[in-house]
Amino acid sequence: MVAPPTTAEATVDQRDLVEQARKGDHDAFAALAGAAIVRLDAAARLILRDRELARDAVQDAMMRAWRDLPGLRDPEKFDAWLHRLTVHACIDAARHRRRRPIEVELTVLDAPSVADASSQIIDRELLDRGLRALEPEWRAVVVLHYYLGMPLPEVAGTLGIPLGTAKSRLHRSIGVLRSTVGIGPATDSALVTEGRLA
Amino acid sequence: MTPIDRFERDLPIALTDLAEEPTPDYFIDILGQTARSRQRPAWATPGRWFSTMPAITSRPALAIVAIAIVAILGGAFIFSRSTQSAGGPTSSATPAPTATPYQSPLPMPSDLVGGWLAPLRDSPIAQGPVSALEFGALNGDPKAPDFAISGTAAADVRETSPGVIELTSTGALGGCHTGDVAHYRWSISTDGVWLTLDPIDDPCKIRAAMVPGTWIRSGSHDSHGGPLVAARFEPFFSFTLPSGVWLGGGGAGVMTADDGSATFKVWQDPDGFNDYCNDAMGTKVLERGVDPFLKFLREDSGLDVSNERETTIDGHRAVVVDIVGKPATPPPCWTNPDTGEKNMILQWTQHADVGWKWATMIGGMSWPIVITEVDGHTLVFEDIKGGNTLDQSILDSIHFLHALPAPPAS
Repeated sequence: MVAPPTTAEATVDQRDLVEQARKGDHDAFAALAGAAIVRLDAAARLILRDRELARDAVQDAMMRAWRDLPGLRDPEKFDAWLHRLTVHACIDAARHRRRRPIEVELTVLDAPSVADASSQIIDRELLDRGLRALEPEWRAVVVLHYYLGMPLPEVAGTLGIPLGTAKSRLHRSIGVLRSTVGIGPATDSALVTEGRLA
Repeated sequence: MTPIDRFERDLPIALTDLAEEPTPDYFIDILGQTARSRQRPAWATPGRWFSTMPAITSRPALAIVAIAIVAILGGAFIFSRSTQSAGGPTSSATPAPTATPYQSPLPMPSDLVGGWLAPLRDSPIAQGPVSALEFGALNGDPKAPDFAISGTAAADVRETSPGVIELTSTGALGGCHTGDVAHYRWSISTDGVWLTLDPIDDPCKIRAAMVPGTWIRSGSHDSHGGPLVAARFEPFFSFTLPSGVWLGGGGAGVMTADDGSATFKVWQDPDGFNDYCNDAMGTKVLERGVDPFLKFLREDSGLDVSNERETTIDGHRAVVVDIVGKPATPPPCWTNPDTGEKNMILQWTQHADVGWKWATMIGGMSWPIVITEVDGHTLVFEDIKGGNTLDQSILDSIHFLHALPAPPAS
């Protein structure tokens, strides 16, 4: 298992690569993309819960990153910018997906009613169910904060939502996830309408 | 420690565990795509108008106004000077492959790549004011189908022999089936303006009814420059781009073309924001015309407007004005926190049920836009070359049209 990634300050090496890539050095971009691809692919799959959509979203984000990199003002913000492009591509993909019926089943979850206090790792299958029970925009808040390690103000900025909205979404999402894995009550209002025709 | 604390503590690791995978196998594909694509120069993208979000909102589509008129009007005169021979489009055909600056070979002759227009044909797949064919993309965009008719009837394309292309349907369409194979003989006039497609065989009747005939090159798609027509404006207009590799795009009432060192962009009938800091405050519907739009720009508290001067476009009064977002615009009003843009104009068009909003750079050098009014419509142009310099040459080539130019007589 790898440690959760963080949004640490860009290193000097990364800054140099960004500067080179901004000038059209595709090898430098490949190095930057290679360092980010696993993280972005994982984040996209967590948000979208769909491997194919996640691939499309990451491809979109990478294409935009390469094309628009010369316009990035601050090389230090490359990681945050790439995260933003990816999350927005994910949300766009999710919005398109809503136009067709989807296959996620939202039956009453048969999760245990009481958490196993000795458990160190949250049950993977139950966590997956919990994530699927959230709107993609809500999943994005969870993924940005808990997977990519962004502080909430940065999450709000990335998603273009007020900080209060980010806090509220995170709070309610955690409530749903807790409920799904058997810790604490559910927050029904956060459940999505997936499974129906939008 | 409570169970709740443990949950939040464990969540990052659980998410990592859930998502953990090796490097995705499509990474090489991404690098292949980016290697074939050009970067947009820093001054060309966010430094000016920036399409911050397509389709930000929907509104009921208004009726499509079919204004293609089968007539030979004066608007066609620029094309009458074409180098097309008098023997008809096919007689001067020269399907000579053209080199492209991209590393990957295109699946079809690059001369074909781009958009092609003809008067609206009676077909269930005809849309908009004119018929349109699209062939691929010059930058190897994997999302661009090899072939499409007004965005549908997608097909793969390959050249089977000089002057003959094969279309293989990639989807079902009105009685046609995936895998249907058609062959067309193609030829392009020596000036690259006119494309003629003659059917050899096509089992897809709906396509066979649309494709044959002579088409004129569209300005809203990729091109190698030369005379082009913009047909999603009222009125249409023709213009000439310098020779080069132009990546084009647009929709109803909006068009962009970029060759990496120059940009040519057009917006028709833009509206404004009631509050550029807050999209939710809605659209400020602007009266059409040069002066109302100038008034809107001058009254935008986030915009510096200077150096207004009079000019003309195809005999119509026009005004050039330099603009830039005020450096003091506070970050909460920025549309893009990375590049510091602010909302500028909103655009709705009668041919679309979606809108586009455009933002403009905050701070830095100002740049010129040109505003004119034709047939009661406001038209805003950007014609920039080499930084922030107005390049009047494309504007000077504009001629407004009320119908597509007719093909040269055979």
